[in-house]
Amino acid sequence: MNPRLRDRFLLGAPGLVLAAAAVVVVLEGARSHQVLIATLAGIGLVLVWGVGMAVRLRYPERPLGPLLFVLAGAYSLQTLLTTSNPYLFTLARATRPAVEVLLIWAMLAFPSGRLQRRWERFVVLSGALAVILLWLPALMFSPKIGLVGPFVTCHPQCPRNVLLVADWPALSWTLNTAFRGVGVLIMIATGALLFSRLRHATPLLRRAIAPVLLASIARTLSIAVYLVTDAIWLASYLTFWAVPLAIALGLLRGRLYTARALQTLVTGLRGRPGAHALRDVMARALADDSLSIVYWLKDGARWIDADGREVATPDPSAETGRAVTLLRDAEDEPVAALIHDSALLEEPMLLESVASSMQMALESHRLEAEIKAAGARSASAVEAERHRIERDLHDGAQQRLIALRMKLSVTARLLDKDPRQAEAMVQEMGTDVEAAMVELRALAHGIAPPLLVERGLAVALTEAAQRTALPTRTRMEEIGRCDPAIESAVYFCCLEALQNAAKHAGPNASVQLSLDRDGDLLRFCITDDGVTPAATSPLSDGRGLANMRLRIETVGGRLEVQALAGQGFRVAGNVLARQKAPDQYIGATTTY
Amino acid sequence: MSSPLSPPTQPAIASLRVLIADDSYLIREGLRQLLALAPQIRVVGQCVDAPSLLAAVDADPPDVVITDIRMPPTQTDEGMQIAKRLRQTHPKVGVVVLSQHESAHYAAELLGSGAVGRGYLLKDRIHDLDHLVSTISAVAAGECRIDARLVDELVTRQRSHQHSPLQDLTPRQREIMADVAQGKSNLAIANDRNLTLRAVEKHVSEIFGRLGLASDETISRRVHATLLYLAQRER
Repeated sequence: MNPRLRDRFLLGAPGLVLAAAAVVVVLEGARSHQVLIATLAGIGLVLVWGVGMAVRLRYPERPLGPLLFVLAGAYSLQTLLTTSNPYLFTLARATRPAVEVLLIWAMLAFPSGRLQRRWERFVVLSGALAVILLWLPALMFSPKIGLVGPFVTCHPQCPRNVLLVADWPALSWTLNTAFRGVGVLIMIATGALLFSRLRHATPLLRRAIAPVLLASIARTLSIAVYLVTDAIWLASYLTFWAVPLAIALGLLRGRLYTARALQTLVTGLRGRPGAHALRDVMARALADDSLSIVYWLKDGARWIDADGREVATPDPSAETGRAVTLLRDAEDEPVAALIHDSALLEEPMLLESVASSMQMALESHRLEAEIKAAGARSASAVEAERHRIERDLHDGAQQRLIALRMKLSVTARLLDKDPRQAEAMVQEMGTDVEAAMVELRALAHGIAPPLLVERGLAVALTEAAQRTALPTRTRMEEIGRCDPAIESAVYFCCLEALQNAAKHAGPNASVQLSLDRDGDLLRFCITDDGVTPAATSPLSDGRGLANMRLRIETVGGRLEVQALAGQGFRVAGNVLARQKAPDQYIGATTTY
Repeated sequence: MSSPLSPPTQPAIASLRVLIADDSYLIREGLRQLLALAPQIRVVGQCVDAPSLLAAVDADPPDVVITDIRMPPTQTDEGMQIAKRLRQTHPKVGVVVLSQHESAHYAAELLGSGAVGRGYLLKDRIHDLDHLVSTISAVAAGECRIDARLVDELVTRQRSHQHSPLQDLTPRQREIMADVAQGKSNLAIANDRNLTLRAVEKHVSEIFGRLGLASDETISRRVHATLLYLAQRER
């Protein structure tokens, strides 16, 4: 058998059995109007059980389903009022108000089945206490069951009250009246609570609650009238049915609303909204204006907003009334987090369906935000580079020119007084100008080394290796040319690693520099076999390493730095760098 | 550009003892060579950073310290800190701050701890020996000197602002205001501009009235006021 069908059968069968039993019991009771009563009871049972089943199947996690089953059970007991067996009759009579308490519970706890607010719990608890402390004692002191109600058509020839302890009609009457009073108050409170929930609910919840509220008002009125006047009304049956019907209708309306929200969303997505527009679309679909979306940056292990700015880790406890829903991708990695009104938590289905239909859009926006964040970092790298150039110019060429200008003044004054000295000064200034030229050339080289620009990484790095103080072996594969930004990042990273080795590895060390290509992956590695005393190890030289890492990460690469077991130090990195076609870079070199 | 020594300064027979502080060897050496040509000045030492300069002043206070604004250890505004510090520890030592910033903000800040014996020179103008010597001498005599080019630029920038009260001044008055901001006395202004002392006094009181500044008797205070005025409007 189809498992779905089997589940439904297993879930539905007890309800049908109950209903059938109820009908049989009523018909066996041989009282007046038995056919009518049997029909009404049967319909009521089938309704409650059926709605309970629907809730159970659709929302297995909600206690509302089981609650409705219990309600059906309590309701079916009431058919026993038609028996002549005193025990069964008393059982039915005694549990009669429990049906109302369960009904109030179901109405207040709709749609989840959990009582969320303190007042709601208080009302349901009061109902239970009223049954135990007022209703049952009232039964104990009255030979006849005072309160008439549906199904009881045997009055006054009802079976014996087995709960009877003593025949104190006055006490019984007082307790019964008190019970009625409390009952009316509880029904009024229930109506008020439902009304206040309606006012504070999210639009979706409001749609779901409205029918239940109407049904509950009808039920409240009918029960209140029944408690006060003892009147037997058909309305009592009808309003009882109204509650499961309203619950079913509420759920249906909620689902319709969800469907419409999803439609809004899908329509909104069709225009391929940007990150900010996406938020607006989601906010509209979820009817939560305060909604905000943050994205998870995998590499940086931090949260960023749509503009790539770093934000605090979403924390629902930071602000009351807020909740966080985490979205994960297929590998269970976080993609984004929705920070929303905590009222939406009552609609996990809506949240989940909105979130899953947004998955693709969110993932692409995550990428976008990631790129923006990388852009911001590379902007700060550019800024740092500009500062370095400014410093170099300030400390170097600028000071040299100022000094040169002073020497010119001195020379001008010496021309008459001491021509020989003046001539010596002119010689000196010639040397100074040359030094300034060398310095400026070196600076320009530091910004864009000509060999790198014209001949590429392998040639430029081989030459750089020859210039370092330590003996350096190079192993260069033909890697071709790639993007100038990548070439430059790798070049300066390697240069810094070579300089670190020269500074820290000691005079007897040797260095190995290798460069190769694995498909589109450009790899480089600088290893030295020198001493790496902890205090002066490049690991402690945080700044140099941070610079190197920033350079490589700015072009989307990775850098690993480690002290080797034994001795030596290794800097290895890789960058995704597609090789340029030869004509591309020949063309490029001519522009430099 | 050559300006004569300020009149209050006596013709220097006794030489002024000067201490140089700059982290650039080239600048120290250039200043030493240049100042060697000025008979009234004797360079008594060179320092490479703030701590060594303060130590040298403590050991043997010179008449004037010429210090770069940006030096080790922090490479930010050591020169300003030194000027402030020496005001406390050696009030008689004059300080000339060399700067590459054409900013009235720094100049006004320098005078914030008192304008007496303080000078602010742009570094790319220190090759002008006469100007340099006149600044050193004025500062040694307890006067205050602000680089003329900095002041000129501030005044020009000021004027370009709409609603600037400087627009109400006559060209002559603007010149005189610039002179005041440089630290010149009324007498020096009168000599430079071929005016009578009375005329200068009249202009100065009118300028100060227009700008809403309290005209002050002491030169150092009125420099500070004018400079502060220019620096405030600069932002």
